[in-house]
Amino acid sequence: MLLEVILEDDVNCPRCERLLPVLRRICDELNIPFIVKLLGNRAVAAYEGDSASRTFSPEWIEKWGLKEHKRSLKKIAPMLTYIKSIGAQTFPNIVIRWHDGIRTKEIVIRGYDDSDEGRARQFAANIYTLLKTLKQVVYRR
Amino acid sequence: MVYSVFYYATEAITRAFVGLFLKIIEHMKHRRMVEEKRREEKRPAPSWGFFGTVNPYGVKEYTWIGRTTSLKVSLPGLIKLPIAAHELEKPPTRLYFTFAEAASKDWFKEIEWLAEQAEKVAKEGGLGAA
Repeated sequence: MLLEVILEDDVNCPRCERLLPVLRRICDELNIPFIVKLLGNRAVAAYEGDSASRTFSPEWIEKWGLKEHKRSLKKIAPMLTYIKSIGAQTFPNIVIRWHDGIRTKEIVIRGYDDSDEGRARQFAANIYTLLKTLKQVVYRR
Repeated sequence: MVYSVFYYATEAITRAFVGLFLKIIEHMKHRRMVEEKRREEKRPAPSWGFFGTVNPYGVKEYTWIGRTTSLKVSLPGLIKLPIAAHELEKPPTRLYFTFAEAASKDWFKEIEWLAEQAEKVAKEGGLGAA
């Protein structure tokens, strides 16, 4: 029996901060384990193949990066520069993970934007409905 | 007289050639010989430090034996706990969505469609996505 919600979070991410209470409230109401994963340097987020793809900038990697960062820097340097230039974020990621008796399945949702209140409300409603359905599937209730 | 001079000269040249030939062969043989290596002296068995041992119950342990004191400490070896939920045999099936997709009213239709596709692939004997 496995059903859990993981929020991949960053300390410097204001959107994560606003999403956290919403998800926590939903999970508390449905009694589903909720985990906040604060991703450090070595951690790999759901959307990334490599921890180096999130580590800020080529200059940062050259100066402070780990060996594996430096190794893959050649390939990803242009991408990092582009991400830096457009100010793209890879957080927050919501990972909803469940086991349906055969194997583990995951739904990964990237990003959160509460500038439009109606949209944010619809998002919360969708997540609530999904989790409620999954709970029924996983616990057969 | 002339005859003997030629004779001795020819003999000397022949001797020189044969001698040189034999010397070359000897040199090549000598080169092939392998010099015996010096054997490294074996270190004495350690009398103090960590030793891997098996206790009477058949569990692997590490025992520390002191150098100057008669200290003897046994440490149990680390055991990897098998937790079924944490060891995934196959990578989990992942469906990716953006916030815009997740916030739309037709999100569930999309999930259903993706799940159907994954099941189809699994039935056709693909990578076993579902």
